[in-house]
Amino acid sequence: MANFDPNDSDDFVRGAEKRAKSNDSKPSDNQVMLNVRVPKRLRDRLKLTAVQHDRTNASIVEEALEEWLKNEKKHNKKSRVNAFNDDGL
Amino acid sequence: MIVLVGSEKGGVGKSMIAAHAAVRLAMTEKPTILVDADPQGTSWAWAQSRKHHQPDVVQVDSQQMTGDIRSDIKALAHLYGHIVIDCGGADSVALRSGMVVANRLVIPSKVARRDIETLKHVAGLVVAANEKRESDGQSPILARVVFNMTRALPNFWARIDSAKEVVESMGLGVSKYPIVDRVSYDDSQYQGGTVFDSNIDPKAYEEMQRVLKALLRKTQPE
Repeated sequence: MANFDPNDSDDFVRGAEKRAKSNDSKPSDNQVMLNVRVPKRLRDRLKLTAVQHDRTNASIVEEALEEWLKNEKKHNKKSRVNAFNDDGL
Repeated sequence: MIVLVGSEKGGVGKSMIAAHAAVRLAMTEKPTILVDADPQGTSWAWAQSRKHHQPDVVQVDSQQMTGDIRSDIKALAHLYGHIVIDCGGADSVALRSGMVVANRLVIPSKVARRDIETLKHVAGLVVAANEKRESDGQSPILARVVFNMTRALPNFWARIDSAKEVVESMGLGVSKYPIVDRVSYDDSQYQGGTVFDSNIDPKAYEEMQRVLKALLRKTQPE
C-alpha cells in the first residue's frame, strides 16, 4: 500500500524525502571510515582487503590485535626467564 | 637450565635424548630451545619438522651453532628458560665450550666395551672443565652417563650393574635408570614427535620421564 496520498502532489514529493530519511540502516562496516586517525595507505589497504576477502574492517583489526597480543605475551614470558637457573624437572 | 648432551661416541642416541629432554623441559611452560651443535643437524631438522607438522603440541625453538658456543649460549640464556644443546659424537670445540657454560652434561652410552672405553676421555674432559669452572667461580657441571638401548632381559641387568661400577670408577655419575631399546622411541621421532606427545607407549613415556629426572635433578629420585 502506498504511504502517501496520490491526490496530494506535495505529499507525494515530500513522501519520497521522508522515506529516504527513514532508511537509517547503517552502511556496512567496510564502507565507513575508521573512527581513528589512520594513515591513508593503511586505511585503503584495510578496506580493500575487507572487500576482497569478504570480511569486516573490525574483524581484521581484532584478529591482528589478538595475534599481536599473543606474541607480546610470549615475548614478555621470555624476558621474565633465564636459563642460568639450575632448575630442571 | 642449560643441558648439554654429548659424548665421544656416535650412534648412542644423543639426538633422541636431546629431543626428549627439550620437550619434557618445555612442558614446564618455560620457553625452551634446542641448540644443534652437531654438523649432521638431525636435532635441528627434527625441531623444524615438529614446528611444521605438529604446530599444536608443546613447541621447542631450534638453532644451529658450531665452534665456540659460549657467548651465543649466554645470550640465549637471557631469552629462554631452558636450553638443550646436542653436540656431535666427537670431542669438539662445541662440546668443550658447552661444558663450560652448561649446568648438566648428559652422556648417553651403550652397555658395550667399546662405548664404555670412550668414557675415560669424557671423564677427563669433565675434570678439566670443572677446574676451569672453579677458576671462573662457577659451580661444577653435573655429568651423568645414561645407558641407552639396553635390553629388557633379566640377565642384562647384571651387565648394566657391572658397566655402572666401571663408569663410576672413572668419576662420572650414572643414571639409576637405563633406557630400554624400544621401537616407540624411534617411531615417535617421525615428524618431530616424542613419546611425550601421545600416550601410545605408556611404558616408554614413564621410562623417559624417570630417566630425565634422574639425569637433570641435582639428586636422583628414588
